[in-house]
Amino acid sequence: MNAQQEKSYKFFVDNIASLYEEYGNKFLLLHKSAVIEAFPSMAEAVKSGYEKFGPGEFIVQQGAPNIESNMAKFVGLLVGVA
Amino acid sequence: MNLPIQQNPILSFTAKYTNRVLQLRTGIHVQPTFNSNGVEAAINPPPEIWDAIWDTGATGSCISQRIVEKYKLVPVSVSGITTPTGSTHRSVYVVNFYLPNGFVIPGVSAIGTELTGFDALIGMDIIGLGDFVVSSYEGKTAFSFRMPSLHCFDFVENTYMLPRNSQKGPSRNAPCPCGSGKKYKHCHGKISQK
Repeated sequence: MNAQQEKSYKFFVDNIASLYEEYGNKFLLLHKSAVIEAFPSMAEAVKSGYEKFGPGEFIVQQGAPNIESNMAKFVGLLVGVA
Repeated sequence: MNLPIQQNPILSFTAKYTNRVLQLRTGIHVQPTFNSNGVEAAINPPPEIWDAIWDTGATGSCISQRIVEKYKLVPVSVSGITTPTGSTHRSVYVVNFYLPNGFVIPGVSAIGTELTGFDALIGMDIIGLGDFVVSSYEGKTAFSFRMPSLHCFDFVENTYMLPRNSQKGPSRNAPCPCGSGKKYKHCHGKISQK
């Protein structure tokens, strides 16, 4: 992830509750720390991101009430955090 | 490399092992869904075969850093992950998974992370899209997966799935208990005789 994507992710995390209020569970296309558009599916949002900005120039995050609720969970030790 | 790709709207494969196994592993091909110009790539699996583990204890699917580096994947999202050793966040990539028997799942959101001894983890985001059955008949593990889901596998309710010598099934001309509307002899009665 490059610095611009990191910044957009931080914007998403910092504003997750208000973005959820505005967009619900939609998939948000983010570019330069701003929501460009909300989509009903990940595929549509990613496709639009590539068309509008190109690889590495955007991120897509699904709206959620808090950051914990859209975390992937791994109960086994196959995936670990160093 | 041209692998046969299933065109049937019902996609399926069965993995059979020669003994009872404690991990469900299959070889898969992984292809970036979008090429370096951001254009959707044509369905055409790369030659590399990666070792994948099927994990019902994972809510999402993962790929190793080896796969990320091999295909120079560019992240499209970020996912928080929670594991027994802690929580963090990782980049997410969009890839096509080529499962055995020409079974393609395009546009998988896969988390890139450190994996040791295997290169892909197939979680409930994929398993939960279809029917997934594991058996250990005669001490040999087999598992079968298909998409979309077509049937509820309930081994308590669906006693017609039992071998003929363990219970008396419906009569041949009776409606099949699976609810297909067909006669038993033309539906699961036919299957169980094979």
